[in-house]
Amino acid sequence: MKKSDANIERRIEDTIVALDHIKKASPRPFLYARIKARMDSKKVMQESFYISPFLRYATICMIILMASINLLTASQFLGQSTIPESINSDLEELTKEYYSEVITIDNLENYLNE
Amino acid sequence: MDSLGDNNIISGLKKGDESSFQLLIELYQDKVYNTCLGFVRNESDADDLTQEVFIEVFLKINTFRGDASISTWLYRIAVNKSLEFIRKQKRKKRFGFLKSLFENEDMPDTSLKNNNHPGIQLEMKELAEILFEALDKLPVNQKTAFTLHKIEGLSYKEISKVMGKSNSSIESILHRAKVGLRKLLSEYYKNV
Repeated sequence: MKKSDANIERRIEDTIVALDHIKKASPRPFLYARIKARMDSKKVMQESFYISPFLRYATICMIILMASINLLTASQFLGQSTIPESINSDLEELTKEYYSEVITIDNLENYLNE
Repeated sequence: MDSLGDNNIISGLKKGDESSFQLLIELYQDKVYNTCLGFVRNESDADDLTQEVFIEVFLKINTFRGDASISTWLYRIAVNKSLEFIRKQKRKKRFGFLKSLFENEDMPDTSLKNNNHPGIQLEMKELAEILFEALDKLPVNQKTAFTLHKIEGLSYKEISKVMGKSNSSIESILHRAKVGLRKLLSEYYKNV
């Protein structure tokens, strides 16, 4: 092994053990008070409601369902005319059957004389 | 803390008892703080994350089934929160870089304020910085296992519980982490 290789090997060893005697640290004082303040400011109880997976998915499903129903209803209203096609054709047939002639101003006199 | 004491704390927390919550914080704050500090290496960020860990415990205590000990659960939350924080910081850094390219602005300082661990001895600071940089280049599971083992001093068994893996797989992960670190450090020292 070359001298430089041995040197690198030694430095690697020194680096790997650099964390061996690491000292434990402590958080800043009054951690509980700070956590409480943070929880109060964030209204954690409300958050827990929204975080609950069941409620979250149930709400999303409900919104999707309501939006789908709205869309379906809207598309039905937009798709149909004021008088449906079938009713229109029925009216025409009835008119033809009972009123064979169309009464206009021109033939009104003839119609009355008859 | 014995399991009986832990059980009392858990049942108290489930009832919404504030003194149980206070006791939990007093007992485990150092463990949680040091775990977070091991990952983010910044006192202020670690303090914030510690608070978030305990808030999550308070909110999710009803989902705690008791399969693992409360300390394992706390470690798990602390690790996840820390890794999530690092991911967010990296994302911010990338976004800041892109923004600075398009808007011709100076890049905001969103980098991880690394290597500011208060527990590292002064004469070891330089070496620790080199090691932390190499550690950040390892895959997440290797980095997690190495950090829990070296900084938090957890045994293989405890790490296996925190990471949800078998003892032998933790041994293998730690072995790969050490090999990876040696390789990265060797490249580093060859280029210096």
